[in-house]
Amino acid sequence: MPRRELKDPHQVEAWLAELGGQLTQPGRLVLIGSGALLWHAARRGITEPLSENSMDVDPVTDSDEVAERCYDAMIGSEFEQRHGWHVNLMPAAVLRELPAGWEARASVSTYAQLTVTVPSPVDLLAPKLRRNEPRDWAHAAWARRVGLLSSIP
Amino acid sequence: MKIRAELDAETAIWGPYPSYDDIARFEYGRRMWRRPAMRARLLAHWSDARHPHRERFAERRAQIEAVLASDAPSAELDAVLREQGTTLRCTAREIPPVFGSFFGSDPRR
Repeated sequence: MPRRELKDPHQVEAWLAELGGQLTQPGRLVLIGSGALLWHAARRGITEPLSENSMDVDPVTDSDEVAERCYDAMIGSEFEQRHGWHVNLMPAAVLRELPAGWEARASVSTYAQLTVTVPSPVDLLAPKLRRNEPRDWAHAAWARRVGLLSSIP
Repeated sequence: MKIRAELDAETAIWGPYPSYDDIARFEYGRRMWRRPAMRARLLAHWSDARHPHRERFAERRAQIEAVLASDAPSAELDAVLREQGTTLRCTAREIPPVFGSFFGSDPRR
């Protein structure tokens, strides 16, 4: 069974810093899903844990070195044993689930050699709410409660 | 933004409700296949006695390797596979996942 211990905003930033420090050349990724919501929370100094724990982060990357590092952090890996959650690489096609124009509203940050793009909280929630699973609504409610949103569609 | 024709072409390959996990195994698998060390790790992992899909991989290994080794655009590859009686969508589903603590280690680290 995959472990489901991703809940604190600082966990994702700590992973990105670790990943960026490992790269030998510039790389980039787009972060989506609940891990990306946690990233926004960390950036705003929010410490309230996610209302329902997550088991993974979902990056999209066109950098082979980044992808290779992510393979070492997949489900059941030593990375998961150490962190309590895993990395689930997603294809670029998944980004079309985001609302049009998301790139212009996204945040960009760098961690050593790694450039990370994170869609806005509202854009991140759009595909989650379409999926309409209880955990998605729980994450949306958490995002609103901690102040990541002004409103939920 | 992708133009409509491009999206239609992707839908023709992956269907109206694509499995992003399948697409990820195909796309990242193909990229990792070009890295000799990663290719060796993937082959060792998928053939490992602890991997539950090892027998299925062994049965379909030639086709999976051909897909991963191909540089052809997805639509072209799908067309070739259809001539062989299958599809890229079906073949991508046969690419084994990477999981567990036995993926091996990169000797460079």
